[in-house]
Amino acid sequence: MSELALPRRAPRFHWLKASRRQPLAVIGATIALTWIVIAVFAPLIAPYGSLAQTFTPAQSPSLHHLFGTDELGRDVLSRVIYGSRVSIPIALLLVALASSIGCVVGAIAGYFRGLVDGALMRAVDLFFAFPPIILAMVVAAVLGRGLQNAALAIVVVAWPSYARVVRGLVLSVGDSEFVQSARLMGTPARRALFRDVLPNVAGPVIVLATLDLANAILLLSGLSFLGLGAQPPQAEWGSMVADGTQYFQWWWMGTFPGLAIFTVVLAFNFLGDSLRDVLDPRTAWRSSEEQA
Amino acid sequence: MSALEVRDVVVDYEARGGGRVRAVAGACLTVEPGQIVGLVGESGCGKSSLARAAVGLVAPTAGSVFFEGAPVSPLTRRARPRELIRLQLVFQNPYSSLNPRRKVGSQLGDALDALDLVPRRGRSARVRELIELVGLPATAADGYPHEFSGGQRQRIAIARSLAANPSVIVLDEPLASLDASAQAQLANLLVDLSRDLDLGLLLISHDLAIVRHIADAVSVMYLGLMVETGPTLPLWQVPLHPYSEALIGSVPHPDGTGFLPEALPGEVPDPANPPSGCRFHPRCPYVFDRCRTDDPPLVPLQDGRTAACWLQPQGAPVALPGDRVKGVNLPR
Repeated sequence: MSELALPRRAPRFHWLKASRRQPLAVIGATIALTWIVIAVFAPLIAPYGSLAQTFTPAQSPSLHHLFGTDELGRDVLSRVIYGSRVSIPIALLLVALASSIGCVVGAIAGYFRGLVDGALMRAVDLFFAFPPIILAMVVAAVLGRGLQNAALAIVVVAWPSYARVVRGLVLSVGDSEFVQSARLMGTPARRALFRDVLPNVAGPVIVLATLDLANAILLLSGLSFLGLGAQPPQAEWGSMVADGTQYFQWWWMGTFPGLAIFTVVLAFNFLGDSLRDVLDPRTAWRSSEEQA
Repeated sequence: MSALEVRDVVVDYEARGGGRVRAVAGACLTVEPGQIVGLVGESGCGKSSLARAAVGLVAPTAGSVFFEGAPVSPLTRRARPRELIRLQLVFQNPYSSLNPRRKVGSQLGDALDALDLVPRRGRSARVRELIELVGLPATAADGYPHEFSGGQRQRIAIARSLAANPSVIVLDEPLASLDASAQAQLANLLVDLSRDLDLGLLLISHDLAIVRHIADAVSVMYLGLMVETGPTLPLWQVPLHPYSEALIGSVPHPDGTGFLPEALPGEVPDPANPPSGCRFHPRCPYVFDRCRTDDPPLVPLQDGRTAACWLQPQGAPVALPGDRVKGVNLPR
């Protein structure tokens, strides 16, 4: 009976092999890691301080100032490096916060269904009724200028999409046959939610969160650009781009922080896209099998 | 006392636009301990809805289900009552009925956790025992479902339901998604399990050949209602309802006798809008006036058989006109 021969077990670290098949994931992870290292070791890496106005203003890029200097005589490279300490940790933190809130709301809606679901989802619809940047601007403006309030505003804007995704997944996974089987085995619904439903929801949510990191950085930069986020003289990419637009003849002032935003956003997008496949044990196994 | 008794169960579904679809229209069925009952019928006749209602996954609109004499209550958010856990269901598709993110052993342990039949220390031993019972190596407990083939997964699903020490398992097309050799292996496994564990099985299938080989009794369902029930062999030899006759006549015989299956003309009518009178009359070769106006009840005939047909008066079996079941070769 050949049917009794068990298939070869998935090799250890099969996710690592699978990710090697996805060059975009590797590129994304490399860029993201590089930026995280830069953020952590910014004082060691940056050639100058981020606030020191000690140089001739508006120098074009040279060996001394690779990214040039800004209108106040600050080194743009150092400011871009220090800027990563603002955008990246805040983006990570607020995506974690927004996804946690969204997951809890979505899981409650999907678990209780009926009236609870209706009420929560109408609340979510309310948030979706406004364009995110407008809503974030309004919330940030009401809370007052400042990085912390801008981050809070982004959380307010970001959580509803998690709630909606999680609710839909909890509903569909909750109706799946393996959950019904577990229920027939005597598993109470709440236990099935944590043991059978939520683990199967986690993959898509992690993907969404990774993609959302890019959105968060963009939104934070946007708010800073509009003057609602980081306040001068703090080095933040969005506000640096905003400054740069006022001095168009000194292109380096806005271009390099803009490139920093671009690379981080791109990296997290690549990561998110690839994670979608790698995180799923079925596709990960299949792709490493194809490779063998 | 029957192990499982389905009494006049009606299952309605809300259709889009406010209408209702009557998937099961008052079906009756019994499964005795250790008995294998086949439930056959075309796709869309309500077999799966009946299976779900039988285990409490769907609340019947009317009628009731009794398991070992106690009524089956529909599933709520709370844990299923202990006494009901011994009534189990195996789904058709072994790819969607196992959690892709939990190891096989852990999923097999669910019922052991809920029932507390085995002390905590002995659970992994019991899980291995169950896996070997369905003919897989015990190491399968450490694997994830995607590492197994369809046939292996269906064995795992059966092992999982066995963990509940069931007295009745409802199998909803358990063989439909498997290839022929896996079907045969699994069919034999089911018969062995039923014998060894005195397990009542309600085997829902549209594969008549398998039902004929392993079922002790058969119920034929058409458009939400039983049209004929009886012991398997006599029912196959002399079907008493034109629909059973047509179903059996549509099975090919790969035995070289030149018997050609006869297709039943027409489609299953829309259950939202069933025909008047006898539900089968638009497709029935023996239809007469009364069939178009009056719905025949399921009446007991001789030898433990029942049929719902105006040609079958209560009491004595009457062969159908015509000789349409020629070529049916029965095991001696």
